[in-house]
Amino acid sequence: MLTIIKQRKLWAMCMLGVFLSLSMMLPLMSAVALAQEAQPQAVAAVEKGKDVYYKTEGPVSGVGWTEMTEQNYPSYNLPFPLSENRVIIWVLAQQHLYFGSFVLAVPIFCMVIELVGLLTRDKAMAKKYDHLAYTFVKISLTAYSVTAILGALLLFGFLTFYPAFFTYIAGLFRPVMHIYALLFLAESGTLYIYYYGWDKMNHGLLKWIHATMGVLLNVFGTVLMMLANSWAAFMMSPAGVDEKGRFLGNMWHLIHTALWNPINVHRIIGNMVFGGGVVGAYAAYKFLSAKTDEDRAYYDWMGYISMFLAVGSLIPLPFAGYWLMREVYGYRQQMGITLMGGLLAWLFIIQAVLIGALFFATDYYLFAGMDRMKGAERYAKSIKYVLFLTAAAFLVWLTPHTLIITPQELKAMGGQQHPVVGNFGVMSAKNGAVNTMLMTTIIAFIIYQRANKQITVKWAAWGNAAIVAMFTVALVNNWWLAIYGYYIPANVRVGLSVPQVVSTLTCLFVGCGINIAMMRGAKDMGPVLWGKISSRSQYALFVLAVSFTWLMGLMGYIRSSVRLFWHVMEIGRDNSPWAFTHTIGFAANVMTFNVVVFWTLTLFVFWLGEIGAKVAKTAHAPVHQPAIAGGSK
Amino acid sequence: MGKNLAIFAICLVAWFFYFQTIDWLFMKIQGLDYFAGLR
Repeated sequence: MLTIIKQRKLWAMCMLGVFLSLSMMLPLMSAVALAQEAQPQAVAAVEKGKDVYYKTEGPVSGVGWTEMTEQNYPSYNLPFPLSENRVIIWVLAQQHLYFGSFVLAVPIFCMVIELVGLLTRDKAMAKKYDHLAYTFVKISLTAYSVTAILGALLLFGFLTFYPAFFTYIAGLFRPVMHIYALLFLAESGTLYIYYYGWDKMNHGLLKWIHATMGVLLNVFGTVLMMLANSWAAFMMSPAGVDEKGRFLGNMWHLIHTALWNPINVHRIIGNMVFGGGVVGAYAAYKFLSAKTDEDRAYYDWMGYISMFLAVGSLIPLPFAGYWLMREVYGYRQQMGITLMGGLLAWLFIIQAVLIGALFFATDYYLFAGMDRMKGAERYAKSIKYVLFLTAAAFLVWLTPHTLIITPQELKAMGGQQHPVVGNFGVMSAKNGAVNTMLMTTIIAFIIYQRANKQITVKWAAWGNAAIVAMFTVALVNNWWLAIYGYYIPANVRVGLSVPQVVSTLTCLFVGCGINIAMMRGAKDMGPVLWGKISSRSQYALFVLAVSFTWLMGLMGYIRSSVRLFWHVMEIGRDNSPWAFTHTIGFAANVMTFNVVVFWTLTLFVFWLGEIGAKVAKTAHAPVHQPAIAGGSK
Repeated sequence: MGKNLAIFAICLVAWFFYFQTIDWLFMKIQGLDYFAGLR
């Protein structure tokens, strides 16, 4: 037996060694590829070009952008909207991104939950966490295949609908695409071993190796996503090429464009929010269809963890978005104005409504979740104040700067901007509003944390006073900075957002930190009755998931359409017959169509998982043997 | 009650100074003048 265990350990170590070597080799291979790319093609008479972004000189090492004609956009002459190739590509790209972000986010949760399970001393809880991580990866497995299929469809879409454009991009990013394919292979292999090896690698060292494979899986997935991001970022803010779009031999410049890192950070966090939302919806679906109390309790708990992960990631997301916008303004001020003050500004109002819905759904779910706890009634009276603040901030948050109005209304109002409400349409007010909503959500979470606890620490009076005073002063400070922004020059005003963010983060970390410290030795007023929650609360999880899906489609459209009539900003012009920006109504309809298609496919994935579980149950069901009379059991 | 109020008042003052310092410091880090609108 001991020999078998030793052999297994040896094999596990070998496997880990292979995977680590593979992961080490990838950067090495990319370095070799990049070095080869960097070498000038010809020794004599090398033409030099100037990088459009980095302003460095380099040898012209590739073919530049060729001006396109309508013939470069082969079309099937289908009826509108399919007559526009971009609509087909839009749907395919969006579906691929939805599933891609889901399968990238879920392994992050699996890794964290599995690690929590490994570090938890309570064996029952450790097993529960481990099972939860397994459930998460099980859901993502079918979604992984769907992602790959959609990726292939998208690739065929590019090849058939935008052949000239794709030839140009593929020519530039050739080595990156090779590495991408290798990473995809490595990720697939790791995922399958991670999933199918779950039971076999469940003890001792093997379990730690399994957890390490979870880390590797995330490393592969994240690098994969970052490479794909470099293509989208290049289209928005090209670098590494001259003004004719010719490659200048530095692959790093091509990848590391002005918007690459802000997009990377925003997408990683956004994926986590989205992934948490989808898994939360799965838990809600399972909760509502559960037949036993045990199942209801498990899926209620799973829904709570998913919501916690999604909302935990949602809190830093606006800051990452703010950074991205700041970099967009830094790269081309006109792009920023098109986004937030011009053509696409109304889409940000839709975004505001959806974000408001997210905060309301989160607060509602947390407060509904207090039903499971004895003692929560002590905090019931404070809920209305939290909701009032959230609602007030939400109203400011969604107020547009200018209104779509009739000439009569315009005359009566004395301009397009309302004399009072119009003041809420500017960034100062928006920053104040979103930070208020974030703070109220943190308050809701702190209330939830202590709902069934009787605090016993000696310094309880100091702790409570510190928390209440901190939120009071932080809120007032946030509003003060919002109002102060109206009285200072624009360049100073932009900087006020940083102390506002720091105020919110103080509330998050210090507030939750003090609260957790106060929980030490606290008396339970009763256990958390998992499963004893209203069905209504589960619909809040659906609202969260669908709002995330909508938001992702909306913001993706905004980011992509800001290029207006450019394929590659200021280098490659879009000369297709449909090189104009869609109306807001049409864009919103396509986004909604994408949301419906995604959720239909996702329900299909959930249903497949259900069938798989039933088959597994039937296969493992005990065979009833006829009992021998008088025999032992 | 009186003692709790006193504790709360101390916390309020402490947090007020903390947040004002944060406001000033993070503007300073960005090379901006926090008091630009007050002069």
